[in-house]
Amino acid sequence: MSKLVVAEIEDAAGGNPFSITISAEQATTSLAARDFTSIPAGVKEIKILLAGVSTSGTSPLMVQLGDAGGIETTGYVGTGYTSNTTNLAVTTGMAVMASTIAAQTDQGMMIICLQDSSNNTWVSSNVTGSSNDDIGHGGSFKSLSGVLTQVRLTTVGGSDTFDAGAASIQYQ
Amino acid sequence: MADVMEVNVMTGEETTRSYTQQEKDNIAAAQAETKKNFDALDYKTKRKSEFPTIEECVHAILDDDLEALQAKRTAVKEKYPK
Repeated sequence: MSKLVVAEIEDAAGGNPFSITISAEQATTSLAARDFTSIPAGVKEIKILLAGVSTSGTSPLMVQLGDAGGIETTGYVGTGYTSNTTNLAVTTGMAVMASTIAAQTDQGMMIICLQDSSNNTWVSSNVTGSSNDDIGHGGSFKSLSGVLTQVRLTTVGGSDTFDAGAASIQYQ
Repeated sequence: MADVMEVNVMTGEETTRSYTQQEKDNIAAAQAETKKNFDALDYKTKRKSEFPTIEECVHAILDDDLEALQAKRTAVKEKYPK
């Protein structure tokens, strides 16, 4: 078995295809949504990282994808699940769980991968653990009208506000 | 009042803004759809999401607090009748 050692490797866009970028951590302590914008073209995998994220109400967390035209709010296919409770089919975003309460925090990761670059289709999968002794699961897919440039962390209802924790994203 | 914090992942610049009218309309539509989906669930599923947890039941048994537990269950059953 031979080994190839090179000083640098580039993709067609001039970037290192194996480089992982992490955004600055954002406190999730106010407002109803966090948008991570200006994600560069060519990204094929995004991780949404949650550390003690909490909101003011009972609307489950979800992630929405966007392109140059803005955040897309329809056409998602998927379901969130919270252990000990129930399932929740969501078409307006990628559900992180099915239910939550104001007092709980959530931690874990959602991975979103480019499934088909010809039609900008992304698929997601996540497992999160809450401070309320349950687990959130989810799986979704969504075809964007253009190349992904942004992701939004928010709630299904869209009006509950963040009141604890932090979030960041990794992409490559 | 601001609703969204936008974070530019390239520069780290942060800006806050209110939802646009389109975003407000989208949220209203999403809330209506969520309610519609929940309303379409059968009574068993609706009750399951609000019944006391197994842990709460165990504590009620051990703490001899079954009356309060049954009151909670009855309230959920009345909220979501067969």
